[in-house]
Amino acid sequence: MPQALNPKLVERAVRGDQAALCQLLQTSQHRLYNVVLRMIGHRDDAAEVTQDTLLKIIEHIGDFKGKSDITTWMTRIAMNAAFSHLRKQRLRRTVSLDHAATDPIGRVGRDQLSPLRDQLTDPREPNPAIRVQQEEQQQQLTAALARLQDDLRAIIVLRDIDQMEYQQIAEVMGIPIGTVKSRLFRARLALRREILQKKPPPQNTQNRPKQAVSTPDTPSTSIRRLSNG
Amino acid sequence: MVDRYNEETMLGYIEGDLTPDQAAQFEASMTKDPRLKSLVSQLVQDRRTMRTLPTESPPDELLSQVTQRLERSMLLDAPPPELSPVRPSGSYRLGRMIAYSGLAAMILISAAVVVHTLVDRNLYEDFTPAGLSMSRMADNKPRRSNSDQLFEFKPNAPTTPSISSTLADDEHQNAEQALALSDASTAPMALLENRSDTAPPPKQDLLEIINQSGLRVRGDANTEATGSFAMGHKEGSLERRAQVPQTPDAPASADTFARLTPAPAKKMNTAKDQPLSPLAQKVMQHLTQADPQLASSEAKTEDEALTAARQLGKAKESDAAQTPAESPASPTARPTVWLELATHDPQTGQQALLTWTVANAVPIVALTTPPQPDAAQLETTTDADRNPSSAQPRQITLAMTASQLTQLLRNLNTAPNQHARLLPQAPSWNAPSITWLVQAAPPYFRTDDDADTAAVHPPRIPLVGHGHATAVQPLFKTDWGQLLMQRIPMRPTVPVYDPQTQLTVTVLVLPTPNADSESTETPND
Repeated sequence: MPQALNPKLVERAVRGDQAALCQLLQTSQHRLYNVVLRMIGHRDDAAEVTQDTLLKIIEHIGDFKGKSDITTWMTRIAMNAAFSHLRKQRLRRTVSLDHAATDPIGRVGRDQLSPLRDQLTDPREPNPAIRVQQEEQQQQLTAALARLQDDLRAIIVLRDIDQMEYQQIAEVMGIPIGTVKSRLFRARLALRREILQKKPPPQNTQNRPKQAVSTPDTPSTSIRRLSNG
Repeated sequence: MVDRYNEETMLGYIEGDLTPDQAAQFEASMTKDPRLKSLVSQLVQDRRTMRTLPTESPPDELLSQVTQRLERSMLLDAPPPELSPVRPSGSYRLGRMIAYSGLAAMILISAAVVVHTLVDRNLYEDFTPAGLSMSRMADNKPRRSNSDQLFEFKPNAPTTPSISSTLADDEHQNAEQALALSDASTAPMALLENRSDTAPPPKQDLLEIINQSGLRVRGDANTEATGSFAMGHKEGSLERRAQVPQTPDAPASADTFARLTPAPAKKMNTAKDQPLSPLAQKVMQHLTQADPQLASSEAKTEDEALTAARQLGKAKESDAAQTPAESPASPTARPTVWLELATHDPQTGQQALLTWTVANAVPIVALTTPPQPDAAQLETTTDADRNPSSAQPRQITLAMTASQLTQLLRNLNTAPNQHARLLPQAPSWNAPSITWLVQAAPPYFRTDDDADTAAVHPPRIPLVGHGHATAVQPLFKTDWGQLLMQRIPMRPTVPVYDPQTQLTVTVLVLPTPNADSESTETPND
């Protein structure tokens, strides 16, 4: 759950206390930026959309009525800005985070989030193998998240990245709680399906039973059945 | 599997929302179905991994860029971009329909104007300067038709912010200006006609333009003379750019400009042999003669105060012009200046800004004095500044370097009492609003490419190195800027200048705040 902001600070900001608004923005910019970054997947674009969000907050903070939590209100603005950006971006070009971009070094999968992935490396990690495995999982997850539909990705971002409660997600997305839950479940299944679909095939498949590959009851087919059901 | 397991139960288990008993029951049921168990375990692992994804710090300059965008919006007189956090309601959709209808009407009117212009392109050889009635310009018009009423100035009509005008010259002798009207039904803006077959506007008219609109001029001594773009031009093109040629005859006012112009920057192109254009001569002839009555005007509104400040600066410059600057430019150097004609309708609050280029022109309004030898006197105040009851606009001029200004603004934004920090000798000062006019040397200039994108991007301000203040460039005024500096502890920098560049900062204190809050679209919360 996002860190609750000081109600007095919010009240002062709404009343026009510019110092309070400044503090509010400072406190929230990190969270908003990460939400937008996970939604958009591009650092520069995320910064720009976050700027739009902050501008909007500055512009309309006086109109905040306090009917919802201020973090929910700000997140809603950020999500709408991200959706708007994604719509415009879709018209202009197609960007995929898992494109086989090759950097000058020759590594595959480098993109705007690569520095972020680089941060995944914990120098204190004792076991390099575990570290590499975790990094690989996070890369797969990030790439799969980028391939999800916008609304499904938004649910997961709000739930896992921003760690919002169902009620908050419902307010941000403007949908009932029941819809939030069902959409979240579908999003998790879709995410898992994307991971499985993009997962590279095993190296020595000849040693594995053929039936294990073609069985209709693998987790991926179970996901399909669940999703269709 | 779908039939056997409740979706909500699965989600509850994945999200950890089940009670221990429910979770144990679900785990027991999963033992009967290894595939489901595998899937659920993977979903749980995905969720766990997703929550451990590292967060990233936003760019350091995120907030400062927000402030820059706000400043840019202020400078361009355009509001920040609108983002609708809510879905449009019924009334909003109705409003949009009305807006679309209005837009369609504007397009039709614009199309009619363009078609009409193409049919008879000689009908609009002259336009009415802002603030003037058509009758006052009647003597200057060679031809006129009923359709000229479209361009007639209506004193009480709001001006449009989307008007742009420019100067172009493809006849190699005359500077030609064009005006674009996005909405011909509203009041048009004025421009100075400079055709060889027409008489120049009366001097009083031009002064009136400045008095009413606030004309700012920025220029440098020796930039390459170029034209810029035009919209709705008589030639029928919506956008046009032309290279402004140089006229052969040298002007008599070049040395006057040299007194007002800083030493040329290193990166600027030098064209010493190019004389002033006829328009420049005309502008010089009419506008460099400072009217002593201007400085004594009593401003009641912010715009009036700004105008008064400019006039005051103009008067100061006239005095300063009597003594040569430290590094005078070559007397034969010719400037390219950017004219900005800003208008403001106090009734509607609408503003319009015209910007156009005058090649080979001279600075006609310069608001600053040369930098004081004892720079960075931050405590400089005047008696009027210590008198909070004074209803008159007060102006404090500070001379400092760009780095000192940066530090001043940083302190200003972090201090609990910005005003006291700004004016340490007047801690009780309680002016409700404040306007900054930061004057730098030399003012920034733009290229043709910048002119095309000036409405989208902020003007590019190159590093100019050391220089002396001779022309004004209001970087920000704090009807918006006050909001910026108080709401956001931005790291106000003057990145476009060398840290040691001498700046003259004019703090214009306005007596009355404008507390009108414009109603905007309210996000539902």
